[in-house]
This record gives sequence, C-alpha cells and structure tokens, in this order.
Amino acid sequence: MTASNSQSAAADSVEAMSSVLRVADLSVTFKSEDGPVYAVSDVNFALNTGETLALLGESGCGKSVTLKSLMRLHPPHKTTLSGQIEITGDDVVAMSQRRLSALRGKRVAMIFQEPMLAFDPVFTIGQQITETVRRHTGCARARARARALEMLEMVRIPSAASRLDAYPHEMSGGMRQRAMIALALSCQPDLLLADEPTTALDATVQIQVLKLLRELQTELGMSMIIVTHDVGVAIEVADRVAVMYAGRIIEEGPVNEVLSTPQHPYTQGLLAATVHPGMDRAARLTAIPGAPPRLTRRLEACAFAPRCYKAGPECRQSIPRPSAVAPAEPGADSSQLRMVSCYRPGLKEDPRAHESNQ
Amino acid sequence: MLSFVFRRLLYVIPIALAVAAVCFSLVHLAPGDPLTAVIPPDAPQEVVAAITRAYGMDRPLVVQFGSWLGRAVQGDLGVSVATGRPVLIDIQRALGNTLLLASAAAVLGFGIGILLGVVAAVHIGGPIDRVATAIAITGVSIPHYWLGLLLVVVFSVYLDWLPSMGAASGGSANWGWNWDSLRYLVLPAVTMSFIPMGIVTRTVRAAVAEILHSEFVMALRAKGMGSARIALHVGKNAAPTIMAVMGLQFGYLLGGSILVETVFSWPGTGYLLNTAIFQRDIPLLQGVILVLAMFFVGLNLLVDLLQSFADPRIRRG
Ligand SMILES: Nc1ncnc2c1ncn2[C@@H]1O[C@H](COP(=O)(O)OP(=O)(O)O)[C@@H](O)[C@H]1O
Ligand code: SF4
Ligand SMILES: [Mg+2]
Repeated sequence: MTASNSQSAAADSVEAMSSVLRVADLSVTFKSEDGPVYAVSDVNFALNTGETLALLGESGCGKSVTLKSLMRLHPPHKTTLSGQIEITGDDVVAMSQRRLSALRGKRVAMIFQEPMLAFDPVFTIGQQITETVRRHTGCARARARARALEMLEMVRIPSAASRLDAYPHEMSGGMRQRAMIALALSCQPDLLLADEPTTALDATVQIQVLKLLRELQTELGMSMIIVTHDVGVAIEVADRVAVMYAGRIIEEGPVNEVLSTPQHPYTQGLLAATVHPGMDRAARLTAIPGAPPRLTRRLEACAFAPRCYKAGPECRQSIPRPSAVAPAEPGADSSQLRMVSCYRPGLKEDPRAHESNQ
Repeated sequence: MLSFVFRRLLYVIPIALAVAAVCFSLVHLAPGDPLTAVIPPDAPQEVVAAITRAYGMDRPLVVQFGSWLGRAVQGDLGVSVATGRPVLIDIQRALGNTLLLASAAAVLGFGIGILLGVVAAVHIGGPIDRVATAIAITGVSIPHYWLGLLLVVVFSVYLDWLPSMGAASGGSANWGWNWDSLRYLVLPAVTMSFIPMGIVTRTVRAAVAEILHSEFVMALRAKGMGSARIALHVGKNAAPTIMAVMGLQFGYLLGGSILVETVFSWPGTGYLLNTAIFQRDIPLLQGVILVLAMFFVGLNLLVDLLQSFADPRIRRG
C-alpha cells in the first residue's frame, strides 16, 4: 500500500515521516523473589519503514525483554517499565489496555523462538490464524478462513488447504515456523518482532525461513526487529545491528560497518568468539574471559569492565554514554548513524602492544 | 476420531470381563463359607449338601463364574440370601439414591472447586490464592463423618432447620423435585462435596496456573486476544486433566461413602454394601460391587472420550 511511498520518503532522509518505532530511555525492571532484576536499562533506538534491525548479544543480555516490552507483554504487577515507546506515532507506554490489544497482532506482530510452544496445541493452525484475522477485521468466519489459506500459501506451505485443519504437533518444525509467520503477517503489521525465529530449527531450514522472512518483508514493506545471538543471522537479514550487553545497547550502526570495524571491545570479543560470514579465516576462535554480570544490582560502572582487555579507571567509575562514531561516508543519513558506548572505543589493537603501552 | 472411539469401546470388553472376574472371585477369596449365613450350624450333612447344590456351589469355580456372568448380563444378579428378593431390585433403588446424592455433591463440589481453582490460579502467590488453598486443604482433610455429625448437630439438633436422617419423609420411593424432598439432600450432599471440592480446587489451580504461564498464552496476548478468548484457550487445555480428576471423584461419590450414608441413614449403595457385608449376603455383595465397578468402567470411558474431544493429541495413542 503506502510502503513504497514511505520508503521513498525515507530516501529523502526525512526522519520523522518514516519512523515506525522510536524507543527512548527504555528501562525494564522485574520484581523477583531475590529482589529487583534490572533486565533492560536506558535503551534507545529508532526504526524506519522497511528497515530491519538486529538485536545481537549473548543469552541473558535483555534482548527478549526489550522486544516484549515494545508490546508491553510483561505482567504489569511484576514489571516496572519506564521511558518512551512510540509506534507509528502512538505512545505505547501510556496506551490503554483496550487500544493496546487492538495494536497487538494488527500493527505490531510477534514471532516466537519455539513455534511448538507458541501455538496452542489443542487448536488447529487454521483456527489460530482465523481468530486473529477475525479479532482485527471483524470479518465473517469463511472470509477469515480464506485469508488464513491465502497466508499459508504466501509462506509456501505445501498443500496449504489441508494444513489449515492440522494441529501444531502434526507439522514439522520448519512448517510450524512458517505457519507462525503466516499468523503474524495475517493482519499486515507495520512492524514485525521476531525473537530468535530460527534458533530452534535445523541449519538448512534456518536459511530457508530467513530467506522467506526477508522476502516477505520487502514484499509487504514492513519493518522488522530480529533478536538473535547469531552473528550470521544478523548479517543475513539486518540493515542495522544493535549489540546488547547486560541490558544495554553498547554499539549500534549499519550491520556491515559494525561487524567489519567493531568499535566496542565486547562486539570485538563476540565476533572473535563466533563463526560468522566474512571472518578472518586464519583467526582462531577465542572466548571472552569471564561471564556477564548478574542483573540483580544496578551497575555504576561499565558492565563489561571486568572482562575488558582495555578497561581503565574511568570505566569503573561511571557508565559510558553513547556517542557517535564518525560515519564511514560523509553526508550519510540517519540510518547510517553509528553509536558506541565506551570510554576507549576503537579497532582492536594487538593485546601485546597494548600491554607494553601501560 | 471415529476409529479412536471404536478402539476405545473395544478396550472396554476385556476390562469389564476382568472387573467381573475380580468381583466374582473376591467373594470366594473372603474367609469363611459363603453359605454359613443360610445354613444353621447344626444342619445335617444332607441338608448342607442340598443347599450347596441349590446355590450351584458344588460346581468348579470357572463354571460358576460363567453361569453367574451369563445371568448377570441379562440383568439377573441372583436372589438375596437374607431377604429372598432379587438382588437387582435393592441395587436399583440404592443406586438411584446414591446417584442423586452423588450428583448433588458433585455439582456443589465441582462447581465451587472450579471457581476457587481458577481464582487461585489467576492470583497465584497472592492472598486470594492462599485463602483458596487453605479452603481446599480443609476440605480434603476434615474427616467426613465428623463433618456430617457437626452439620447434624448444628442444623438439625440446634437450629432444627434440616432433617438429619433418611431420604424423604415418606421413604426414598416418594422422592420428588420439591423442597420437602430436597431438604433431606442438603446435609449429606454438603458433607460429601467437601473432598471433591478440595481436590478439584487443587487440580484446577495447578492446571490453570501452569497453562497461564505457558508461552502460547503470551502469544495469544501478542496477537491481541481479549481475556474471554484467552479463557477459552486455557479452558480447553486444562479440560482433559480436570475431567480425569472429576471422573475419578464422581466414581468415588457413586461408590457411596459408607460412613456418610450411615451417619445420615441415606439408603444408598454404601448403606447397602454395609448391610450385605454384615449379613454375609454374598449375591447382594457381588451384585453391588459388580454394578458399581461397571459404573466406574463406564465413567472412565466417558472421561476418555470427552478428553479426546478436547485434546487432539490423545486421539493418536
Ligand atoms: N519475568 C522475569 N522475571 C525476572 N527476570 C527476568 C524475567 N524475564 C527475564 N528476566 C531476566 O532478564 C534478563 C534478560 O533476559 P532475556 O531478555 O530473556 O535475555 P535474552 O537476551 O537471552 O533474550 C535475564 O537475566 C533474565 O533472567
Ligand atoms: S568502557 Fe572501558 S571497560 Fe567498558 S568496554 Fe569500554 S574500555 Fe572496556
Ligand atoms: Mg531471548
């Protein structure tokens, strides 16, 4: 529909016009039996129409919590959410429950990591897509069922008509995830949130599903946020990447630039520790020493300092603020913006040279 | 689906046969001669032999079982040793009374249990949950007969609101859908509803709480479903577990609590079983046990079929 219009608007570099999502100073704290858990802190990012952002980071760094809070899916009595979330101009944080549930599934849809768990086991795939369509369009049962069939065909599920009446356990993992994508896209959302959509799948199926996602996204002109711990997935589908550590975004920018010239020591460590396309073949995989901090205390220092090879005294005194990294090409627009939160950013030096400097 | 129903029906045949065999042999395994109740201790040898032959007890057990079963299938459960009446007549009357009492107790116990269980699950960990759980534990742990007596003392003796004994003023045959009959039902039904109430509360609470925390409920919210629609999904998922427990509980209620029926002189199967045991009335005992066991088998079948309607995964097995 209007996707191509707004995409060209984005090309005209008018940021406000084409912004689908704006997140400012988002913090999410959970109440737990062992006290508060500071799962997400001061997260900022924005997303333009048609753009794909990857949230990248090790398990437990707050990616899923960030994603779910965009729809306010966390149980309200156990969660403190602060900051701003704006989806196509509407304030999600202040939104009434009624408007929120009208937004969910319609303007913003979500794909989950394990489709076997995300589908209700005792309803058919067709029923589960149909109820979503009827909820948001109010159309008749037969019309909604026709739409469900259309969606199953769109995600290329073979003999789609008979799959409408299948139960989730009667499908393979790959087909289930395709059906989940069909469900999520059935009401033509502006924004698709995908939480590790291929992690539970076999390697070959993973690639097919990623390709399908990217294709549909271009076709429908949607924006997408994909959560992943896999650098390869980020490279495959994302335009931009935001690297998370201990509940904060520590580096952000165009995926090629961030992954080819990582500025933050954590991003560098992550790349050195994982196999990914475009890596230096001669390099050996090296794990980052130590473990991520527990989020039960509010940190007053750089969370990465205990594991960082170039941590200095300032790193242990206060949290580094995000600052712009000079763009690779002069005159680049907002989608080319690069940020890093580190007191000593810069390309990785030879650790031995660094040691001798001190 | 149809083939599942058919297969499930076929399974009932061997189960029913086994149950019948157990009923039959239980009585023969019991100590003492089953005929001592009818034969005077000083009867001459010939008389004993004649009576033994008349009851067919001189034949091999397998033959006895075969002919007993053959007659039972046609509705002939033999003649009571104590009264000389066909056993079936007494069983029918007692079963009718027990069905009435069990149904009333089930409606009360299951209704309150489901309500408390759902409320507790929704507020799990909070004060409402703790109150509901306390009620459930109390329901399960209060002794039946003690509760029955307490209710009689309070509502019959002290307040004189409700009768303490029997099924209706003119005997159970005069039972009807009017207050005069219903008021006899109140105290025993309330007494018997406590255990199923407690057990159903705990079952529903656990099942619903687990489902509410499952990922698909979050996925339902993520696609904009309202609470009514989510309740439908949760209900259909919890149904098989809850139905299994309710089926079992209804089975126990049908068995009739000997203690409760004795406390309230309720002329049901528990009461009848009690009579049969004390009078060593073997045909009556066998008949009551057989009919109750068959009800149990039938109830299980019903639960299985209902479960398979709710959960497609059960149909595969
Ligand atoms: N409901 C919750 N209550 C308490 N802590 C939570 C809750 N959900 C997530 N967390 C914690 O928040 C942190 C981030 O979790 P998550 O966003 O799921 O990580 P990931 O990056 O692997 O997706 C983890 O330490 C996790 O234990
Ligand atoms: S701020 Fe300091 S400790 Fe943190 S990543 Fe940068 S250099 Fe390392
Ligand atoms: Mg996660």
